[in-house]
Amino acid sequence: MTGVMRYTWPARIGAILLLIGYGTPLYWLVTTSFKLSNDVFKGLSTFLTFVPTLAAYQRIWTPSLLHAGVNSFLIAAGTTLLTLALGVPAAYALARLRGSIVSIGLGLVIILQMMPQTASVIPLYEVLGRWTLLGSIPGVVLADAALLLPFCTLLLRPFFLAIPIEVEEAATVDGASAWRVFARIVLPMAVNGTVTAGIIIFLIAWGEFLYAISFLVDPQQYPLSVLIASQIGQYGNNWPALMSIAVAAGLPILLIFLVSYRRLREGIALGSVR
Amino acid sequence: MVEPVRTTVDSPYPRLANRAGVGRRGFRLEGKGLFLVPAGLYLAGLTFFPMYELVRMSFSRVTPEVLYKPWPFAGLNEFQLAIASPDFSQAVLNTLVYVVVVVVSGLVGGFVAALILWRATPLTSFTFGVVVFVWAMPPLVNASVWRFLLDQRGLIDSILVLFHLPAVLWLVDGRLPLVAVALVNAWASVPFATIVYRAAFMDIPGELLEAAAVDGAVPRQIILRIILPQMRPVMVVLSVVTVVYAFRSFDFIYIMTSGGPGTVSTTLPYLAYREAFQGYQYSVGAATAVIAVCIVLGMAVVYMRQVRAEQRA
Amino acid sequence: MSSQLPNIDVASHSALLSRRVFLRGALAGAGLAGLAAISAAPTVATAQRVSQASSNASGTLNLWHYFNVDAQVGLLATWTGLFNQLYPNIKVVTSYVEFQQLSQKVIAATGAKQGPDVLIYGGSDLVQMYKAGALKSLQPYWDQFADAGQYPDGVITRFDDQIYGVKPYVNLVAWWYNKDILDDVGVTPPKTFADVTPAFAKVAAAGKNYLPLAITGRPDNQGDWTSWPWLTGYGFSYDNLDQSAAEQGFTLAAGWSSNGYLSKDGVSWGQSETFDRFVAGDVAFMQNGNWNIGSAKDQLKFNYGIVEMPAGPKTGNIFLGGEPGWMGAFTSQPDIAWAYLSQVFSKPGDLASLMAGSIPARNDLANDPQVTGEPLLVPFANEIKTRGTEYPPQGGNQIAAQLVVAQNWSAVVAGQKDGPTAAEDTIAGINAIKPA
Repeated sequence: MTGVMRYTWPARIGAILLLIGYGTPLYWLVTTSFKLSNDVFKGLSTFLTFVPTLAAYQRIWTPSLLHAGVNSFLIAAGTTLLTLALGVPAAYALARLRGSIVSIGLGLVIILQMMPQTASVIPLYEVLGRWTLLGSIPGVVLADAALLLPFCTLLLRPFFLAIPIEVEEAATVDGASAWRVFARIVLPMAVNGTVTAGIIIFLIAWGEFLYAISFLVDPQQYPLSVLIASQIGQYGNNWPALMSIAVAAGLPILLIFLVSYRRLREGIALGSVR
Repeated sequence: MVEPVRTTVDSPYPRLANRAGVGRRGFRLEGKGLFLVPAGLYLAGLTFFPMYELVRMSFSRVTPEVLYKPWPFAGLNEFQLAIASPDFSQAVLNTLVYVVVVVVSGLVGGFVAALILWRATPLTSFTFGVVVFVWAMPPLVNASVWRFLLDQRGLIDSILVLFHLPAVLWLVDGRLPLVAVALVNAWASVPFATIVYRAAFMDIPGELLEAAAVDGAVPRQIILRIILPQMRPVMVVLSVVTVVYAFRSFDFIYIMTSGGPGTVSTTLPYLAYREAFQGYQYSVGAATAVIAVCIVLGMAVVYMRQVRAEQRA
Repeated sequence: MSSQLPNIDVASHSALLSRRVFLRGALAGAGLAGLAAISAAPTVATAQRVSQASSNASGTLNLWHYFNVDAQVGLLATWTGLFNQLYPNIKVVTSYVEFQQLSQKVIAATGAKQGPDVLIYGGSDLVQMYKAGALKSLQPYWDQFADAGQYPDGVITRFDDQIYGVKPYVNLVAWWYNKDILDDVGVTPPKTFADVTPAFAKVAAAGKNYLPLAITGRPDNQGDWTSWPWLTGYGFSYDNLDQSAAEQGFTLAAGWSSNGYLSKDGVSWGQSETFDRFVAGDVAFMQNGNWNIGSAKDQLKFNYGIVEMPAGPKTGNIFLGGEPGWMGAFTSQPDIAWAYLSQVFSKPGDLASLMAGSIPARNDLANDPQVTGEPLLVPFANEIKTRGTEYPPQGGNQIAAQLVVAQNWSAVVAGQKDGPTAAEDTIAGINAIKPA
């Protein structure tokens, strides 16, 4: 299918420009993780010529780092599952229903996204406190899912809109209930969009910081995002350590994405209806 | 696989045309309302409640002293205070500039990047990996990296100086900090649009592209005549999502300039934050935030109208 | 510095620290002669028992803080060690929260009737935590505290005539300099405002790409904290909104900006970034604090020194920072919380502040050889005696006023406002603030 697009030289140049545009800051990020603190601010001279050291990595490579990584994973995975579980049916409903409920629902979803995260902390603290979910990872998962659910719903709706209604109609005529139609027919055809949304939500929840630092108490529950933020502060910064944690935190993400990306490409042929 | 939502007169593939939501008579659409219930309840408790509190706060006078006591009603007083702030009108303008930069970059840049990276070659696959890795970094990391790169002694200015050009104070001079932060934010969020477009590309029916190739279409025609029209629903949603995202964007400003120098790069979200959490005028900050919500509400209404129009078609 | 490792039972569970890193950090961060002497102190049972709690008491003590530098984390561990000597069955959990978020978290927790048992916090908004009902009065405990008299009034924070917080140590800024550069250029550290700009000019004129001054210009609490010596040097204060004084102060800084004596990128710097810039080795002078002493010994690869801040025509003031210890309003075990705090305020606990490069506040430590023996601390100690003022400044709607000053300072550093405009906007902005 993509063979149709002849890979012309503008595309090749474009790819190189993209690589430069995204690769250069990434290069700086990674190389800084191999610097000593006093080499960080030294300007162009240390962009290429500096004495690399593993000091930052040695410093951060403690059980706490792995622990924080597990916490990040739990929060991200939990948020993704919860958000998809609620958002996928909601997006489907908003794609299929008629009437003002759809436009009102969409309007609400847009408005709710405008809620500043910082302003949500105080009311959510009370809510989570009442449910004794403070100082726990499930509490953060609930807060993150609430944050991302409107976004997820909005994002998934066009993927459901794209599925031809005839397929559902055929199944209903055969006597299938709404739920069966959804679960057995529609959902498999929306795999592409669902996985994409899932990956995006996972990544956002992985990097989420404010709710994590607000609703968790025991530092052993802190995810990587808090660990990263703690490298800079009022009294001192440790840029190499910050960058090294960022690199360490990014690698599993890259791995997950590459794996799912391959599956995504193959999964499409199965999911398409001709 | 994306079907056109509306039948277009000149589409060569009428059998694929679809009008969403309208089927033959007798097709039951009830029961689908239930699908909304779990999400609805969840949002009611955890998102709508804070929003309600925010609005209630904007009509009261709230400082830490009364935060956990009954809030005295203040009518429109806090809104007047918010608008009377010397930084308010500047913040509104700044927000609009910020939104335009981020949205246009996202919609256009994301589309172009998705096209560039569509065909899998070693170069594009590697580039895609780099782009995704960068996007996976938390805002703190990306914003900090760019703060270094845009420093007078950072990479960009060092290269300019190497070519005997004057160094630019990206995060200091005039109105530049606002645009610089907006561009960094755009840079960090273009990959999101790329990923979404990419998913949509994969849904384009193969026959359309193959038929076009058989007809001898050049890439430019394929892009403009076939791909772009198919992107309409995605682009609409992407616009909505990106506009909201840009309107509430806060992290990059917070990390890179703290709204400065002075208040040059202060947008409405940052102003609200500053008023509430640095100035402890919770209700004034709430009022500022509610004003921002109302602006977005205006745009949301446009979107909602369009959705209704599509449904009637 | 002896290689003897501190004999402390590290019960704290900071996510940042493994034991190995802590020990290395504690030694590196302190870098002071006689660290072994300080750290050996806790093994001597000088910890006073001033609370009613039984030493068999068990449970958890939650301490919230924003310390992210090794030396400060080591200080917490020292205090915890002292505490655990008396209460070995209580697990102390020290919880780091980023500075900007900590007061928000405390205030949010108040709504759920929760919060820390002990809080170590020194931001300019601490009164807001009190107003939200997040803090518990220390008065009943302080009245019984034998060492109460050791703490001068300037480090005690009272609300409605009750003691809520006490600073065990003081942090403030002074004038750092790169000795190698100064020797190279032939300049001595300026003593008065009049000497400052000529000194910068000489550094710049040397033509070696030296940056004369690294200074903080961020438009938040850092900006107000940094501008204070310069504005008060001409007589400005929140009680005395002297526009011409403010104008002179801002004009001085505006001159540095327009002449390129400071880096305009400073508008996005907090004091930590300013220190990062100084570390690069091509900066002649820096206004920064005593807490950097530990990192300085680690990271500065050049000869450096510290002197008192240059004095203005009206001398000028320097804010006395530092973190008071507080008790959370919703602690379920106030006696235990006070037991911890009493160790913080005890003599060995207070002396340990040196570990973090801070100056102990107790009167009986003012002449302690550990304090007087560190030459880098001398200018800070002198400044405390002659020019220190309380931080945050009391009275009125200070936070809003501080933000106004900070924004104008930031604009001046950026070269966007000149002295007269900044002064005018500052006075107008402060006057426009409605009473809280």
